[in-house]
Amino acid sequence: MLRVPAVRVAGRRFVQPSKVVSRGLATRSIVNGMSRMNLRSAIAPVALTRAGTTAAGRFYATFQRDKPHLNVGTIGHVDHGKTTLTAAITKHLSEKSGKGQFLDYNQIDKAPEEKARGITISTAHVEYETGNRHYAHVDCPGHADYIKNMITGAAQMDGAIIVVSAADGQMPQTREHLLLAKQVGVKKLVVYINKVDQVDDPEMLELVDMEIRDLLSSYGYDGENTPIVKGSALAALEGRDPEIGTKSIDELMEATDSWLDVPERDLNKPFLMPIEDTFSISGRGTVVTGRVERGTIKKGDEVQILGLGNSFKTTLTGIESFHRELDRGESGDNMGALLRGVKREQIRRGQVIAAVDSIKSYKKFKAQLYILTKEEGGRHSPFFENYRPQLFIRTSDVTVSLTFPEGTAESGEKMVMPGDNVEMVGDLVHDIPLESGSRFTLRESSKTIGTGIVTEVF
Amino acid sequence: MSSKTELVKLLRNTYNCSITQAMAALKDGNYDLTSSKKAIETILERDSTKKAEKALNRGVGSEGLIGTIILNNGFPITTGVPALNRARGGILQVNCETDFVARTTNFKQLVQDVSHTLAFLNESNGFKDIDLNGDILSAPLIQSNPDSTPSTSSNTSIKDAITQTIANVGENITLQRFSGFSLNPATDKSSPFRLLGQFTHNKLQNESNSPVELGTLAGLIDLEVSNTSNESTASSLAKKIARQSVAIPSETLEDFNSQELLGGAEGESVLDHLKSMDAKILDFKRWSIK
Repeated sequence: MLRVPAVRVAGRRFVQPSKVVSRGLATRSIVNGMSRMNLRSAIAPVALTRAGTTAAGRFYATFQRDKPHLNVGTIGHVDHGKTTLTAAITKHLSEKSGKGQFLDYNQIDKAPEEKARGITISTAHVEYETGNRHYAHVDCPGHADYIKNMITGAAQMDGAIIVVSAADGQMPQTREHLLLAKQVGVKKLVVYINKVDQVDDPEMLELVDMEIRDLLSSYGYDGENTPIVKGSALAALEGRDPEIGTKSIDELMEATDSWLDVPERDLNKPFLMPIEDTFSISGRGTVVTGRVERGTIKKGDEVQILGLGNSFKTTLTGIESFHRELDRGESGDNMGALLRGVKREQIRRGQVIAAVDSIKSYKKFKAQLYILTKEEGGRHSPFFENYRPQLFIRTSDVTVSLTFPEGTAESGEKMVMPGDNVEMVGDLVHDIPLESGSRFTLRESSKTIGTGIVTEVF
Repeated sequence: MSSKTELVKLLRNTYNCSITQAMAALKDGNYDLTSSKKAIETILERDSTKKAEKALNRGVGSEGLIGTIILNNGFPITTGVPALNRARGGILQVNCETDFVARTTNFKQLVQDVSHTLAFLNESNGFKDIDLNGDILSAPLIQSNPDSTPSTSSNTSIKDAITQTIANVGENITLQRFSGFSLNPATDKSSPFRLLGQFTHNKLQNESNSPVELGTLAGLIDLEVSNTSNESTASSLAKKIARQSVAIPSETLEDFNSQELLGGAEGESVLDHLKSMDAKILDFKRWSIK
């Protein structure tokens, strides 16, 4: 058996697992969905205190859901019936399956503001379930608000329903809706053409359909194959004209079930564990400890140590978790890993241990940043190009120099103010494993000043 | 594609009308492009008032844009009176309901055109807030571009332009406030020289050649400068001070003067810097959508 102090500490801390279990099971799946996202986003802040990691350590093990979960946003013009459609979906699906809850417009529109981690977001708490999937509804009140939610991890859209009124067709802002979807990484969307009862010419509907397909294609979506459902959300809500009412809702949900892709679960991704600590055990070798961020690993697997200027391959010869020797470790586990032929001096906290060639280490990257306001505990004054805060990701903490992306006009005099969403290029002093979607926080003299999400690595 | 759909597409590309409107116009115009174009103009005019009324019911939105324009920053200084004190500009806030609309070309164009027009119309000595409910809305709207002059011809009024944009984007759009800057003609050559400076935080990329800067937070400042020998030194000072006014909000000129200068030497205040440059801030406007 390995003797790994940090893991033992983790074990002791884990004396009250029931708390975590009950929390995991008692909450409705929508909350699970949110927690999953928050957990994902919490990785960087967690890295700030080592003890923090153990509290959430077993979350994945107790996290159960019977259907795949998807966060879906409705986007559209204020007058095209987003809320009516959402109400109609909750009504029809809850009546059909006896599960879920019907929410009328008032309940959807007046959802309380949620304060997550000191950052105010407004997310309507709406969920619905089809035979195959569970959906949480993500509200998209505006571009800037949504971008902020995405960066802070408060909300994430896996897919979107674009709502367009048949009478108006696409509007000037429909382009902006698609741009937002594109910017936040929504890969597929479905279209609901609403208010078809206000239009008596079938040719007109064809036209709306055609225009939307053209527009989708021009923004890099699959315009030809994107499902476009035509109906009347109001009819569905009022229980009349089932042909354009409830039937269109069924059709829409079939389309979301079959067309939108469920995001890959952390468990199925390639193995990665941030290194929290290293130990040398005489007669056995070097052990690294940490909490598995994603994927699974088996004894005997080849792994890669990456980051902080020193990357190499080795073999994992033993896994221990809570005093037991295991054959396999998986995402959420706190574990110690025994490495073959590695000296303790070769490894440092802040590096990661990962499946071979699954991730690369970079110094330069582009990211979307949200800079905290004074009220959120952030800076009081703006900063300029070449600002150098500390970047915290997983267990590492590296100085980063921030500049505006190439081609930014007047970048020398441009400022970044508290409360801004901004795209910047980061240049790290040491390389760290990064990929598109990696989340981090920015700190300056022991104060968090912003959070970010990597969009590109160089 | 039938010729009908082709025609609807054509009309929609030219007129920003809804599909329903395009179809109605085709019917009225007997599916002939020229007569349909005439028909669509009538329909748009008829419907836009209706649509605007509907949008008005939703109340004033909380998103929008600030447009700032400097028609003349004060330079070049020519000899003789009253050629001095030529500075002219303005700052305008227009609200809409979502920032999706605030990002559309239609809305940006409206803010630019109205800013430009109002800056031309204003007569004041220093900053002056203009009442936006009065007759000024029936003034002809001037298209914002570097060559437009107060006498550029126009057949749309400011009010019509707003109504049309509301009809296009379907959101309520309101002119919230405008402050214009101009100066009385100087009476003698010794009057101090006044310079305008502007700064827009996260300035939107300009899609047209309009001189109006767009963003959600902007400042316009009135600076008195003694040393006018070098235009670029003076205007970069004006820009720097305008940026400072945007960066940290301040209630009064005194507050502003006592701020620490961004990017300045340790402990250097705005006032210190202005003094060293032989300049003085007279007034500033710092407007933000939120």
